[in-house]
Amino acid sequence: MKWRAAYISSVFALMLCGCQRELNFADNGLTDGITYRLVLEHTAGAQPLQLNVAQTNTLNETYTVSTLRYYISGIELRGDQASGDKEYHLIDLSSPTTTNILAKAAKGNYRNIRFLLGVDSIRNVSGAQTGALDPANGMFWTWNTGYIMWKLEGSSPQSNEPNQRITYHIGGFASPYATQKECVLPIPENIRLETNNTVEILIRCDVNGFFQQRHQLPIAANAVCTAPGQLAAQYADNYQNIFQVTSVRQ
Amino acid sequence: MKWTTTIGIVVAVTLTALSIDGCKKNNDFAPTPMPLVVPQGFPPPTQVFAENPPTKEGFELGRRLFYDGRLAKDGQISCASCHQQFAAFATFDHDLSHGVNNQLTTRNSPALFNLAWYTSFHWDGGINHLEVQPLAPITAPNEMGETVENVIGKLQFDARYRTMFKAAFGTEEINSQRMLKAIAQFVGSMVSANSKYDQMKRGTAVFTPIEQNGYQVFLAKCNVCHREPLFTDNSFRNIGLPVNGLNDKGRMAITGRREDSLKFKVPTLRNIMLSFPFMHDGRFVGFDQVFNHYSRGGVPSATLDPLLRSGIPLNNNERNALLAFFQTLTDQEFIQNPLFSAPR
Repeated sequence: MKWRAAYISSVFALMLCGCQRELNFADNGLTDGITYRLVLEHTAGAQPLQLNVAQTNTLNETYTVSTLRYYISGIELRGDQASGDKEYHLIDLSSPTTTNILAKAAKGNYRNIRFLLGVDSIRNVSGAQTGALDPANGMFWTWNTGYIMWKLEGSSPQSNEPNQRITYHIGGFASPYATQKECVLPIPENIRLETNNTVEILIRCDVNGFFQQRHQLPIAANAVCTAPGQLAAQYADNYQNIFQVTSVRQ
Repeated sequence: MKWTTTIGIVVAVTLTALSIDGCKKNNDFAPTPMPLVVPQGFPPPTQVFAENPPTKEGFELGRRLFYDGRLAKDGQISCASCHQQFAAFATFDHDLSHGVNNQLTTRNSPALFNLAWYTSFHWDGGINHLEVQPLAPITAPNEMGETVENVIGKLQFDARYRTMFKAAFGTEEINSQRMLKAIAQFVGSMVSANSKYDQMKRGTAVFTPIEQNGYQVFLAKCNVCHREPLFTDNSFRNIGLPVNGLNDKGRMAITGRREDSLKFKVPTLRNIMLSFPFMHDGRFVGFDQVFNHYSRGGVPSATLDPLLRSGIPLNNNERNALLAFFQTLTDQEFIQNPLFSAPR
């Protein structure tokens, strides 16, 4: 009897979810959400980061990036209220359009922007996903279920790997080594979101910080990190702190 | 009471399917619900179908995909190559599975059934959801050696698949999520619960004296880990098998925790007569070796399961009785069920 009640109620709950999913925007009060733009700019220190061009990190190591891809999700503006959408974005430096993100929030005044660098744990345990989270995007581990939050590949003279390769596939969603990290960035001037497509927020990502921020992680010591664990979590601590809002256009 | 439970579930799931359908704009898309029927005495299944309620159309699509060699790089190796119905969807008489280009894998292919009650997949539990399990064999270089992108590309070229995806999901779009959900519907619907043991439990069959003896031995010596009615407790344990050349560390490779060294998932004993050789690497070809191992106890180590420290003695009478009991765990109806066989 108890089981039956539990089944039926849980199934009905699911039924409601099934309908609700399509109404998410309305639930967030975002049916008339205002569209604004985030522009991501990648640097190595003060220099613009270019793929396949040698850079120097703050540990004075030379490195060349051939691939840089990472997830940003749950983008939210914070101020009088917190408001955002539920989209997942895969940023891929080889595809410049992906560094330009359209996001939505309710009308209002805002002082901070918040996002998750990576994919929340729920999506890591909920089976097959699509869109930005499609495993065909090469950001999903098939042997130990979970998303690669940040993928940086390239080469460096400091690497002892074949072809001096550097390979960082940072993932793992479970504590204590979770690599999905919340970033909350102050916006230099208050923004007022009123009409579509008028606000643009420029965010700089200094990739040098991947190697030295909260932790000092020289390429010479670790040219490869491809599994969840303490080292991956240290890289995640670093990339949590490499984003900065540099300017706003409104 | 049990029947009302089952009826309740069927009604509720049907309503769910109907109501979800009702939310959609395209009202002529109405696949036939095919809800999982929970066998009498089974615990509630996991949430595996919470967002993917099986339908006849989804199941049939999953079935075709399961038997399709195009999921592999060489166009030959399908899921069914290593998961054969007559072996309860394990690989009959193979210690290690084979992959593309004459390669061997490092593990014994597990039998597939009652997966809707499993909390993780693979011997090391590395996969946390049934839907994403097929990605592992599809992309492993020593299994099917293919990329997700290529597989989807091949399927998109096949008009029959476009029709089947439309029947299952409402449009002809073929993507990895739909493919994986369809396969999950098929393999997740494989239920084995009509062995002589099940019939005995339901009161429609009677054990012979030796089967009954074997059942008593099982209850006394095996049921802690191989727990009824699934005959596994879904846990990971180190039973103290000597480390061999494969140097497989088991669960530790997934969790990175030293306490998980050499632990492997407790496999089900259902259909055990069909799923030999035994152990994660198929090292034991016969029951004698298995019984000897348990009787002697495992190789001492920090992670050795306490139950294996001094061994679980099994004398010859007990072994014979256990074998008679194991025969009752074979589900002939399941291994011959045309629903699960290769589609025509």
